[in-house]
Amino acid sequence: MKDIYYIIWVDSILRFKKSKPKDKDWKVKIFLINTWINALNFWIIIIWLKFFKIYDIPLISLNIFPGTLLNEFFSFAIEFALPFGVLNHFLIFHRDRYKKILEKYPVPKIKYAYMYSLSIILFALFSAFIYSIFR
Amino acid sequence: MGNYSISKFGTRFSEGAGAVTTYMAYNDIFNGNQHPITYLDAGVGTVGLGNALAPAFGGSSVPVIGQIVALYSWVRFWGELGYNHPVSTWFRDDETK
Repeated sequence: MKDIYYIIWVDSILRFKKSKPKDKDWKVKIFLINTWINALNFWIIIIWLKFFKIYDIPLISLNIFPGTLLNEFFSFAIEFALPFGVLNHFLIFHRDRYKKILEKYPVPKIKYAYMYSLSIILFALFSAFIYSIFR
Repeated sequence: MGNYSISKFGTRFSEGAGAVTTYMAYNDIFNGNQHPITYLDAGVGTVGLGNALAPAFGGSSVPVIGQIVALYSWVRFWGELGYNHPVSTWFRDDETK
């Protein structure tokens, strides 16, 4: 499991640097993209647990911004993305750990990061529709 | 704005818009507060998110999609804000106090 996590990170770093070699903000962008995808992955697990009535976590309800859009976005981000943001920071970017990880793991031939991200996005959409219809 | 040009801002806004719309829609669905527009939000946000990350990870994206998602999110944000907080109520005293 740990290896899969690191291989996806290695692939995402290498592919991003290959497609955008002059991008100075690559760390922030890869961090944000992968954290977004991890958050969706976590959401999928939680919503299926809720769907089968195994476990139901209460969501944080924010009332800081006018309207509901930003409040809902930030409550989702805090609950689902923040834990992975912290985890990704300390496991990948803290004290440039990614350099050691890039040396340790071979260059992936398959687009793991792309496949993982795309499948999570599509499965999240599928889960959302199934949950709404059959719950 | 220095090195931070309007086109750069536009690109980043379109990348972020997909995430904001998706998160908001999924939060509504999770809470059971979904409306017909929530599904549209989820669909548009998902397409935007997929389109934004594709070129970064070696895939290909459709150029117009990012702008459409950004525009949709922008209109959605201000529309929702205007619906909940109409301009006519901005300078009115709060009668509930």
